[in-house]
Amino acid sequence: MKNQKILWGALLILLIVMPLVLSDFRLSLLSKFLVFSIVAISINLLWGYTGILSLGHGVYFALGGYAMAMYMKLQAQPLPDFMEWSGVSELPWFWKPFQSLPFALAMVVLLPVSLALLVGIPLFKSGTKGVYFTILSQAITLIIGILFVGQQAYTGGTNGITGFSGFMGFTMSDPQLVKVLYFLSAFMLIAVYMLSRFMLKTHGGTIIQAIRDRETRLRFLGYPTDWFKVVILATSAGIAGVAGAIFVPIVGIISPSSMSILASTEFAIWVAIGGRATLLGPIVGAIVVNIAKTGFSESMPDFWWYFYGFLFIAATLIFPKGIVGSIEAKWAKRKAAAAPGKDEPVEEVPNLPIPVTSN
Amino acid sequence: MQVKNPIVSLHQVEVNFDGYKAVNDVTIDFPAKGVHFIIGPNGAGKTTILDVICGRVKAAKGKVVYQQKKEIQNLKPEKIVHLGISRKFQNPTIFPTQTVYENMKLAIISGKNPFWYLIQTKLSNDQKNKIDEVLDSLDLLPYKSAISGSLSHGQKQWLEIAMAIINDPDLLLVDEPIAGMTPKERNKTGELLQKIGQERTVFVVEHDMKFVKNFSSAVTVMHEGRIICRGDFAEVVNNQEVIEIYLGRQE
Repeated sequence: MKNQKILWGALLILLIVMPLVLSDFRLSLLSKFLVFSIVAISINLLWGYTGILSLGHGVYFALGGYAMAMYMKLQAQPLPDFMEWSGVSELPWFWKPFQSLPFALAMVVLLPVSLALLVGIPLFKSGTKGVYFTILSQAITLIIGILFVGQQAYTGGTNGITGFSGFMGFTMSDPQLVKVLYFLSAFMLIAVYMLSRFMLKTHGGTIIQAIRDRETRLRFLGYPTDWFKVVILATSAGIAGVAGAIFVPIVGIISPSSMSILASTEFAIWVAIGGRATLLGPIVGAIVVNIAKTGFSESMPDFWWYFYGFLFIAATLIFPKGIVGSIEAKWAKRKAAAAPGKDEPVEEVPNLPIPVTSN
Repeated sequence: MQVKNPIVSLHQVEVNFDGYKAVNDVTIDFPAKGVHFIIGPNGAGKTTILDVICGRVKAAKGKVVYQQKKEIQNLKPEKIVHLGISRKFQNPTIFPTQTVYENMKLAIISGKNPFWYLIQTKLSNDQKNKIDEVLDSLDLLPYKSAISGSLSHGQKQWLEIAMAIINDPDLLLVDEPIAGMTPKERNKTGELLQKIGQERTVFVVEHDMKFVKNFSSAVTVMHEGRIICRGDFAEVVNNQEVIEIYLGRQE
């Protein structure tokens, strides 16, 4: 307990010191990784704790991002340039409300949540499980990605939305903005982390893990498990949307590539490597993998994707508990050795790359 | 046989597994209260009868009426649970990665409202006491904070029974509760079922004739998806048809 407090204090100090040590370029990269950690947490809630693997979370992330980008674009230009190029002379009706920040912020959460409900209710109600859900989650991302590319006049097409003038009163080139965004993403990461920790402490947290372990039993205890799955998918989507919204001012662009299957799969890889069903795993995974990715793509870019693939295979086959999970297991062992005879060997958690559906 | 105030009535129920009639045109009233055993050779449709009542399989034809008023053959399992019908499966079906207490917690709150549980973190004192009381009656109280996957087979079975009875169901469906238990554990399980049966109704599917003899208040014999006969243990074992079924199997 005491050790934990020290650890948390050290982490917090590290977070605060970072802007003083890192160059603006590096700090901006770190902010991006913190945002990725938020997405990873959202995937972990769904996959690690509930056992539902979504390989299409990019779409929820991007929807949050687009909501923010639409607001920022309208701050820069009353009529976005890509609309002019496509011969649209008047702002479409669904763009107009995005002139308001509160509306845009609400949409950051509501758009992904609505899509999650639209997808989740029919799928879970009809009993779609396991790999089938995973494949459909990819298909949905693909379809919406194609839709966004095709509707160039309204979405900016393949190029997406870019060319912003500023954010929260800062111009995009202001070095202060980098620090502001860093603290914003750090704050949001901590907030989302606390939220997920609280959620797992509630009865709901016990229930979703029971869904993962033995859904049938839960139904015969009286739980409408479909609805719990819908709720957790929507929550997860909302969190991913928030991450997408912070991502946009940091990198200055949102495009359909963010909702590609590749991007979505990467999200899941971070969680697998960091450690599923651990609180810190997704954060560690997202940051470690992305630091490695940056290092690799600066030195030997061609080699990175092979290494990435290898990492994913290793994370699922060789150490399925991931970084944090493996460390926790070691600690638990040491603790058990210190207090002999108290802890019986625990039945292994089903830790397969694809969620196990019992019965 | 006339039954007053039956707890469950099946009317011409048929269950089809890809053309195989696991339950074939069964009409029966089950009396309320007592420990009611369903016996019969393998494939007789015993477990399927339990499955039909708790909504695990759907009847192709017929009606299942609960407490003489509610038709339940088309309800979802989670709805049926809230009517007061609880099920214990054949293999211990618990949440192995969670503690005994968490298993009981899941059983006692029994999920009516998905949204409420997203913010609720604690059980009431009444609920906590109830859990302790039920665990104590099954000698599981010392294991309250143990990971349930680490319990012995018999303890897992009891934990599942504890989960099934925590909300005081009117009807408890139990599938082969004593498989893999020691004689001592068997007796304890039987006594427990009898105790529950004083106030409520327990249906037990079981093969072990000694167990049936010791703890049954009524016995129904099934064969090839049909009800062959019913009565108390002595009546049933002296029934000519039942003898033929069991002896015929031994040839």
